[in-house]
Amino acid sequence: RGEIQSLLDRLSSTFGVSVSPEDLAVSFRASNKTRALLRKAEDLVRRGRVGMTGLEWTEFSRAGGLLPRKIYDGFLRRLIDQSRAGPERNGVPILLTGSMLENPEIVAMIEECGGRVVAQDLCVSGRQSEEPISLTQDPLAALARHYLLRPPCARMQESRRRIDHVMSLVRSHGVRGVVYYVLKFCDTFLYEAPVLKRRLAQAGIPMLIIESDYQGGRGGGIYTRVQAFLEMLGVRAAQATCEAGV
Amino acid sequence: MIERSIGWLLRRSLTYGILGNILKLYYARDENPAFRIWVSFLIRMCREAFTRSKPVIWTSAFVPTELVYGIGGVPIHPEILASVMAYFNVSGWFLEKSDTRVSTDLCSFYRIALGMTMAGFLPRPDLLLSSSLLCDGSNKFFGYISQIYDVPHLFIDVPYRGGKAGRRYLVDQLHTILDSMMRLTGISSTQARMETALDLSNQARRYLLQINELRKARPAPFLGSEALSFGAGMLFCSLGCEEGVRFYRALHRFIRNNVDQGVGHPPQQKYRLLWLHHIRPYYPNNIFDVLHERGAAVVFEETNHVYWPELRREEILDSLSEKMLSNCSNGPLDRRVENALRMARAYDVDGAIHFSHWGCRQSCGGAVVLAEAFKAEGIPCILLDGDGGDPSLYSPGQTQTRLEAFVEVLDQKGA
Repeated sequence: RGEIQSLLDRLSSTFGVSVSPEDLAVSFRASNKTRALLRKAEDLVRRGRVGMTGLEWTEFSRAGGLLPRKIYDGFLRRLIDQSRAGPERNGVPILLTGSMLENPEIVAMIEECGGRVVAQDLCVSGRQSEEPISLTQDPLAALARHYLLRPPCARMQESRRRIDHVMSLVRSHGVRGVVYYVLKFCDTFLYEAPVLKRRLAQAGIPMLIIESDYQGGRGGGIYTRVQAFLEMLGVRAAQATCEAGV
Repeated sequence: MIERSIGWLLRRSLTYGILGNILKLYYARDENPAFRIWVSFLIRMCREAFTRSKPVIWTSAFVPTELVYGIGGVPIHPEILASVMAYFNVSGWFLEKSDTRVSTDLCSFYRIALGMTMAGFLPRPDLLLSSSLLCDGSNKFFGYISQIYDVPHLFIDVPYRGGKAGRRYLVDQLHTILDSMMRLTGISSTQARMETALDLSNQARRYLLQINELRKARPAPFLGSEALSFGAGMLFCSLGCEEGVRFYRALHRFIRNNVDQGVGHPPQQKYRLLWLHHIRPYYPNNIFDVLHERGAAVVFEETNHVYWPELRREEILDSLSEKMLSNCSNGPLDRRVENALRMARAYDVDGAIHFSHWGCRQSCGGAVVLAEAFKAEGIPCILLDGDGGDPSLYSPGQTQTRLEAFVEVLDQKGA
């Protein structure tokens, strides 16, 4: 809280503005509204109620970090209003987790190879739609609490909490494979990869690690690796079906 | 089979008795007695840790070891032991092992340490203690190790800025951490031991201050390559124990004699250099030979700078917090830059070498800014890319060419 207070004081003195608790409450309400809309839209996309590919949704959710809030909220509302019942999307349910996703093409690759990204836990998507900021307590304490208790980035010390969060996503979304996408030199995520891999292996969920170097696109053998991973998951699924049939 | 046999030997007290005597004979002729103290210190630490005669506490670099000695534990620095493996040119073996688990872009010292863990060549910890000082990777490495061994990991979050609030935040953490350390190791009283650790640390510090003063002499009385290896090793591991005092006392005597007799190390000294960053390549390499052949001597290093004030036994944890917050590499980069420039002036250097260790984001991230600041002061600075622990990333020819070009710049400047 003290850190946020210092930041606020500095911003106020630098730009000659004063920020009241009421101003903060207005801002929190707006953010909470966007988060609620985002959560709802995410759920609809996951259930196939919105005619969007995984790549389109990834781009759409990333746009939230750039567009003015009112415009983005409008887009989200329109998306939710236009949703309609339809068949569930096909494909092996995949969780995409890791650091910054500078190459959204990875989502398209997963879907082309027979996967379906049902959940994202990335620095740029997935972690933004967390719980709302409390409006009933001291605003700065509420903001501090919100950032400290949200699903943590690997930069935070609480590795176990982050991995528990990923495991809960795996369970709640029926995930059968995890793609761990990490930017080269992002040490904190690179160190956590083997820890998560081990935890997932104990639950019988395979994980593919893709280390990217900002090149984007489909180069570097990434497509082949994604394809092989999805094929392996497909074979496992077929085996499981056979065994269940037997 | 070989790994299991070595692991078995490492856990036997007798091994260290035999090894200690062999090394004592081997290094008996070494002209610097401090080096012999370093060797026997390492052997003692390993014996105590592998035979589990004391609580084994793995700590990351920059965690004050006074805390560990103060509770009667033995601190194990995986980074230091990894550099020892590189020194014996066996780091490649451990890197091969760890590369099956983690990215090859991570810091090689932690990758070597992970390989050593996988091979059973590091003593099992009772407790892990790391801090956020300088290195984001260390926290995550220790977190990983905590899961491998299923042991508690205590973490000290050193604030980016000090000030009263920062200091209070750190002191509160140290209180909690000390309580946890005592509970987890079953130690009930620490006050007297902690005071002793602080006294010993202060004694070592006073010798180091005198050493650093002596090293301003011309010709430079001590090799930078050694100050960066066992000198820095002792600085990370020994503050708070008897050997730390003995080591720095012996080193002080050795350097004072050299100064008194006008003996230079290396013998030919045309240019004085400052070594930036805490790391050098520890595996066999030609960096210092190339420099020495051309009359360039590393006269001081960023790592041996005494940045912290004398510790106060009446306010132990506040004093240790002050020490951690005094680290010039913590906080804004300006702080490190100003400190480096102060060192350059104090040691009257002609140039600086920044060794940009591949896995070190924190240091390499600021290297260009440092080099620019040196350039503005009229001091040539070379950014020497390399890796401290992974010999496969070392290119002798390319390094030689770059260093030769750097010395040519110094020649031209001198002319």
